[in-house]
Amino acid sequence: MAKKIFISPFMVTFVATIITIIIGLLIGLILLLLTSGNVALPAFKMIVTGGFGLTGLLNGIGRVLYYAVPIMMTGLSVGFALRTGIFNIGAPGQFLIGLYAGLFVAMHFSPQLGAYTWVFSILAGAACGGLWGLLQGVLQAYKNLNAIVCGIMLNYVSLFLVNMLIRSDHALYVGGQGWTAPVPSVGLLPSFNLNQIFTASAANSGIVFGVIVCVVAFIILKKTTAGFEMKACGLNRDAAQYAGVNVKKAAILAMLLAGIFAGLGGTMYHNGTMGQQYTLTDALRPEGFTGIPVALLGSNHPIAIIFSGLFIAYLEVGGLGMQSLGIPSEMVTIITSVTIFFCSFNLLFKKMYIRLIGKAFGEMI
Amino acid sequence: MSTESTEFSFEMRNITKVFPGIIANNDITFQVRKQEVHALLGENGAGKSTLMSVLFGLYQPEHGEIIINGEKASIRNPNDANEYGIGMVHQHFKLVQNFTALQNIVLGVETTKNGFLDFAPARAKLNELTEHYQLKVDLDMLIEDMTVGMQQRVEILKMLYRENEILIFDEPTAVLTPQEVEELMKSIEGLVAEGKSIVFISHKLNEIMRIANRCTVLRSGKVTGTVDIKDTSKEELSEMMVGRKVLLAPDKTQVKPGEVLMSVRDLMVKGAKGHNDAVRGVSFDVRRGEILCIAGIDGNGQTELVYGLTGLRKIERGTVRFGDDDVTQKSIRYRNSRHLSHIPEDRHKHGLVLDYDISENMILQTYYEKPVSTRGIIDYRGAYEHADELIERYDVRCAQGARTRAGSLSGGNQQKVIVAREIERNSDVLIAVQPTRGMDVGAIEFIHKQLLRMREDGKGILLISLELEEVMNISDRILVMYEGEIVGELDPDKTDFQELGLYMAGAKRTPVSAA
Ligand SMILES: Nc1ncnc2c1ncn2[C@@H]1O[C@H](COP(=O)(O)OP(=O)(O)OP(=O)(O)O)[C@@H](O)[C@H]1O
Ligand SMILES: [Mg+2]
Repeated sequence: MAKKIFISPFMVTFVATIITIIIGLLIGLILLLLTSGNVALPAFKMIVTGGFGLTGLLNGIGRVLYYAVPIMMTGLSVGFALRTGIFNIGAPGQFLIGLYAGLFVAMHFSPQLGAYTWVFSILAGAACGGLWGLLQGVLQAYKNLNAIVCGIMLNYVSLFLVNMLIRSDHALYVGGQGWTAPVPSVGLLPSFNLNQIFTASAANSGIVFGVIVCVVAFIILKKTTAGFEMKACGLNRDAAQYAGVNVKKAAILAMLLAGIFAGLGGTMYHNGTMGQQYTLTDALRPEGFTGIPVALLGSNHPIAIIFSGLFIAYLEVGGLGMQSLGIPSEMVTIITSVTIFFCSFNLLFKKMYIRLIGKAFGEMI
Repeated sequence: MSTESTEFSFEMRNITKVFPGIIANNDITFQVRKQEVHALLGENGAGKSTLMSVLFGLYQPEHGEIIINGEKASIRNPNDANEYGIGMVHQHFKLVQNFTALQNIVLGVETTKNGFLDFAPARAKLNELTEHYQLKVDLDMLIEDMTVGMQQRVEILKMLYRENEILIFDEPTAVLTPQEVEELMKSIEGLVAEGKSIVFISHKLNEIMRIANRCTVLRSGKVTGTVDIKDTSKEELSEMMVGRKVLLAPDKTQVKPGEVLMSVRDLMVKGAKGHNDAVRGVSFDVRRGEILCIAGIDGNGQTELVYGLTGLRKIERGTVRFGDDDVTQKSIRYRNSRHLSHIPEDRHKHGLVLDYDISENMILQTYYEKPVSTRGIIDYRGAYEHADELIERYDVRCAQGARTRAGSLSGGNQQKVIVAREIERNSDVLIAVQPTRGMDVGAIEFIHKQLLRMREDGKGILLISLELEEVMNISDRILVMYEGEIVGELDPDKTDFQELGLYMAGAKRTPVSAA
């Protein structure tokens, strides 16, 4: 008689993710061995332990919490849009617009807004990020622009737009040194004492808000009619259309929300801690792009993205620690990126894993 | 054992295949002789496709072995199956949507010249095949633009192109017209004469009686028996399959048609990509209490007609009204929520979100209305209960109740989900395109009863079917569509297959007035 096995799809995804992470780390190790010879093992230990040994455990955790906020938000942005079938490569642009909007409010309106400045900064970041996402959504839906091309172009538009706006703004741009003035303290997110609990770290309430936003996104997808429509569009556009869903509207709504999430990420990152100064460059900030592996590793699931965001932040913190071993910062970036890159291959490993354990599974997943 | 000594082309011994919550194949032994057409029959969800997917390497069984030409075979994936000369026509086509027919057919066995793809030899061979087997396929058309019927022909052609020794046909005739079925039967006879062995899955007993040598019947994953066709009858087969007698032709009461529910005038709709006029000035009325059937050979504009009526494609000219509500320019949602139910031609493209479970598919159109949702929040518990009730009534065989993923259902059970949803939405007009596609005889009997009941309840039904028997049995009026026009109106009680065939082939036409 046949044995009856039942393993939930959730377990399959979970185990596959863990396997992926291990393989990603091993590839990081190989790279280290190839490039860094004698410090390879300590460096690898640094990645694996998230650099916790370097500055103490609590401080390490605090740093992870701090780094997790922006990539959790951009990860949510990318993952949420993907659930609707849209690849939101425009997240870095939305992130930057959100960052700028939050900064703008904090610099210009802190006298009027007083202690509530940070609230309005966040709202402005969400609103402007959302509008930027909306713009992309509308262009895609009604002008039939390719989502990838559209997103990439808008990323660059946002980059130079922000540079231009900052340069012409004397309140923001101090002394032509190439960076903005620091955010006044009323513009900063409250710390909730997290910076004290996690000794001398930059951890702040952003992580709490980030988790809340992820949960809200989860509820939207899981419970609401809008979520039902968006998921239907992502899974089978023709069937959604057949059912009477306005697929263009659903796509635009998804881009609006994705933009809000990324925009929030921008503000919460920049207004997160004291002394942040935005440096004018010709390159997009990496947090936006890191959203892609965060989303993939989290299987586009808002709750899983909380954890994948934390995990990738953990790798990044460990990576930063490697610099203390004398590994050049470019090399550190390469190694962490490659590790992150392979960690987001969980879809591939999910298939292999199913094969491995899964005579019983067939093509269930 | 030498290759010559065995009488079997292949054997599947004691195959067991388990899916979460269900044993799809339970200790099945299935043996096919050389040069034999072996039919596989069984209710929806009995495990036919699963068994053949095991042979084709798509699933790995928990138990059992496969023996080909007397030797134990290990088939881990479809490539292995290919090596063993096994080919399969899948019930749910495995075609790349944005490739042409030609690209799909050569995919995996491409011919190259100097390292570049060379389609010329393939095209020549395919032209020969389409000629030989009378399969009408436009080799350069994209799959996504094709009717389901043409996709079926591409799928068949794809297998014939590969010159396999063991050919599996999983419901190849579900969307073919009778003429095409006849051609396919002849092709199969030809293939057998060339020494090939054939597995033929169908719910149509006539076809099995016509073509098969033996027939194995499955029920709930187990073998009920294997019989010689010459010693059996349709009645016996259907009894073996469902365990009771089945009424093959439903009783139809007299219903006097009432007022006009849907009125179509001079309708014009373009074909795929807007290249041609697929529907050219069609007019007709659907009345209360009648089943109006549009008959015709696949690809004569029926698909586009339905697209126009339901709002899936823009109407170029003419009007569609429900009572005095002119919906010509209205959205799908508008038509859906006020007047119309629609069983679509393509269940995977339009009918279902395969990754949604049954309950979610059951609320596909109504999720935003009360009582399914209030203030934007969906009541999933209510949806589960609703789905469970429909599963029960329509006898949807599923492993995990309302939470079963639609994609894991057998083909016929997927169809039942759609039909249940559309009938239960209780709209005034139901447009049913091939409503019983892929269903077993028991399920067909049930669905026909439901359609007749709707008609007695004063609904209007527009039936689009290639199934002439269905057309004759349940419709009140037949309109024949040929090259985008209505070429004749027939009374099912006063006509016969032959006359209908002449109209469908365009050999005969009489003027039709709309009302
Ligand atoms: N990939 C899958 N995952 C889970 N369950 C499955 C899967 N494929 C099939 N099943 C289940 O196995 C059973 C047998 O399905 P199968 O498709 O073999 O039926 P079938 O005899 O071909 O029916 P039909 O006549 O409707 O095509 C069904 O109950 C179905 O729900
Ligand atoms: Mg089947």
